[in-house]
Amino acid sequence: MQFNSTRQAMAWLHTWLGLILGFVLMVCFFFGALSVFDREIDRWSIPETRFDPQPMPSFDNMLMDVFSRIEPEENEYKRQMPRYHDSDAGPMTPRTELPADEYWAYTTHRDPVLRMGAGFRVPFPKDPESHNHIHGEITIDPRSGASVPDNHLKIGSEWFYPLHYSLNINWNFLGFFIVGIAGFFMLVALITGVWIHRKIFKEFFTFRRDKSKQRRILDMHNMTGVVALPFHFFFAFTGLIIFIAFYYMPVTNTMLQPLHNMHQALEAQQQGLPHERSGIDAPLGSVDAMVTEAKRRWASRDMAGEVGFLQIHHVGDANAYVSIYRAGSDRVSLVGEGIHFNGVTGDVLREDPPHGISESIAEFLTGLHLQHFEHWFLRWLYVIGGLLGCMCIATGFMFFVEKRKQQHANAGSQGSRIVDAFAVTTVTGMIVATIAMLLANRIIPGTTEGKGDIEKWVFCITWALMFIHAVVRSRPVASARSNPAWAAQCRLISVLSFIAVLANWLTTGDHLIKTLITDTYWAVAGVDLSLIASGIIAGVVAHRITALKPVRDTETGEVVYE
Amino acid sequence: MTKFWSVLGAFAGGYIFTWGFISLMVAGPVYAGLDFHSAEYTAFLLALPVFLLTFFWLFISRQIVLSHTLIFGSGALAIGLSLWLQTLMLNSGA
Repeated sequence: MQFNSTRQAMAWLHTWLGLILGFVLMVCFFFGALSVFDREIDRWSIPETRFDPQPMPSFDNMLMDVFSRIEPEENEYKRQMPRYHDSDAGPMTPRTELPADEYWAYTTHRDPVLRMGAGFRVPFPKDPESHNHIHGEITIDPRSGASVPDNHLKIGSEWFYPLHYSLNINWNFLGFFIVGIAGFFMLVALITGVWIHRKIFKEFFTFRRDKSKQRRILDMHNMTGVVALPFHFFFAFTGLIIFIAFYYMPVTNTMLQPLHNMHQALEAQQQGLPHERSGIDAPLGSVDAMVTEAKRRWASRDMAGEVGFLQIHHVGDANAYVSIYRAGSDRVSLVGEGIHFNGVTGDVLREDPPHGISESIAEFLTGLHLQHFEHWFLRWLYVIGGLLGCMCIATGFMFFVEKRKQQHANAGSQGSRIVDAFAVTTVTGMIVATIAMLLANRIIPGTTEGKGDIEKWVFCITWALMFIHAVVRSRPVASARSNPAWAAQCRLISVLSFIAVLANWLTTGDHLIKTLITDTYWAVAGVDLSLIASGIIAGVVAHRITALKPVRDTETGEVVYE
Repeated sequence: MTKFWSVLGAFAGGYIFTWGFISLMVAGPVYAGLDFHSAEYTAFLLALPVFLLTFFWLFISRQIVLSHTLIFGSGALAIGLSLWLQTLMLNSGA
């Protein structure tokens, strides 16, 4: 060990890993906090979907027709078809003629719209044992069955939500791995943070506003870290648990895959659910009758509720079966109490039994992270916890800069300047990019081709511009002064927030008096109010930063702010 | 720079050890007759604490060669053992 003591080693780990991976963690915490209300942000960004959440509609009368409208996704077809198809065995089936093999529909207690999808079989596959599916998706208004235009991006659930676990970098799952490593070192930073701050209980209550700027920042860093310590720990831990088996340590999907396959086949045999198609065509029975029976069985187990997920396997085949899962919004654990029916006769094939201890713990931890439960107060606590995490990381950056900038200025080093520019980009720059995206969403007409893609570009370009701005304006940091980009970007957040609320009113007619009082719609009112709150806070912060006057300490010669 | 290599060594050692730990925690109990998924869930739930402990131990260890040899070696041994158990189970079909 190259340290004099374990505590020194812990402090080094905390400082440097916290700094390097803090930029990624900031993204995870901020967009994780926004994801708590991803469906509500979707409603704000797609005005056509601003109506009340709906239960799963009739399969027999509506969904079956909608499923027949779903087509395999064009890009996925181009990308995957040559990989799945064996050209020596037979001709390649055109995209729109691929036969459906699997249907699914998914909704939650917060979704007015219904997401549906299909998996299409590839005839003449290279590897018949593999899951050779090309997928297609559609989102509908469950009241009428009409499709929601597919050029509209669900900004909450399809952009902000995946940003917090994959950074939206899907190339070879690179984003997942970066976030995974950052999540692991988040746990390391929390443990080392507790290790180096021995007086943890005292720090819970300590904020000395009359002390120096550096001391105040450190107090704020400690306080926001300690006050939500269990939250930070379980979110990093459960986030890693969700993906560990799939991406981070896929032991049973790689090295022990043969053992996994053997047990899967045995399990399928025991469960009585057909693993393969029979090759004999058969019509689908009444799925509505199966849903009624599933609800009756749940009610008899004192778990009455709506259907959350419905899946049909081996569509159009004699081996078809229908799996129906509860929308488990009345509990933390992510369990569906699935009931599986013979797709042709409607007979119950299997009811999922209660799970063992370790599976139940994993389901509880996953449910705790994904919060499918119906509890608005707890949702807001999640948002506050996420934002406290952001504050903890942001004050960590600021403390790093404050502690070293005089020393770096004396030595002619650019270290503090670089860190400060990155900090501005990840703290205020990220918020500017987020609000710019929402604003673009309201300004770009709904009929514009590729509207969602343009919104993504607005987000990325704005963020890049904020980085350039932060770098260009960071010169004073090299002389131990503050970066004016902090105040400038706060002002921008403030202005954009109010314009976004105004743009929502002008383009949809949904102003706050309407969404709060005359025709209450909390999803839109909540986003508007959050934007206004952000605008006010950012404005106050910008004003206070600008009011600070740099003066030179007569004793130490350091630049301080009064 | 040596500190950077210490972090990398501790991370790689912790990762390999945890990979071996998971594989043995799945293959061992399944060989002994436990349900595959129960063994899998248990292994993955314990994996992160094991990874963290190994990482910290390697990073703060003063006997670098000994600690790294022990962790990398036991990780490799666990992987070898679990592969052997898997072969036994596949051959017996149980």
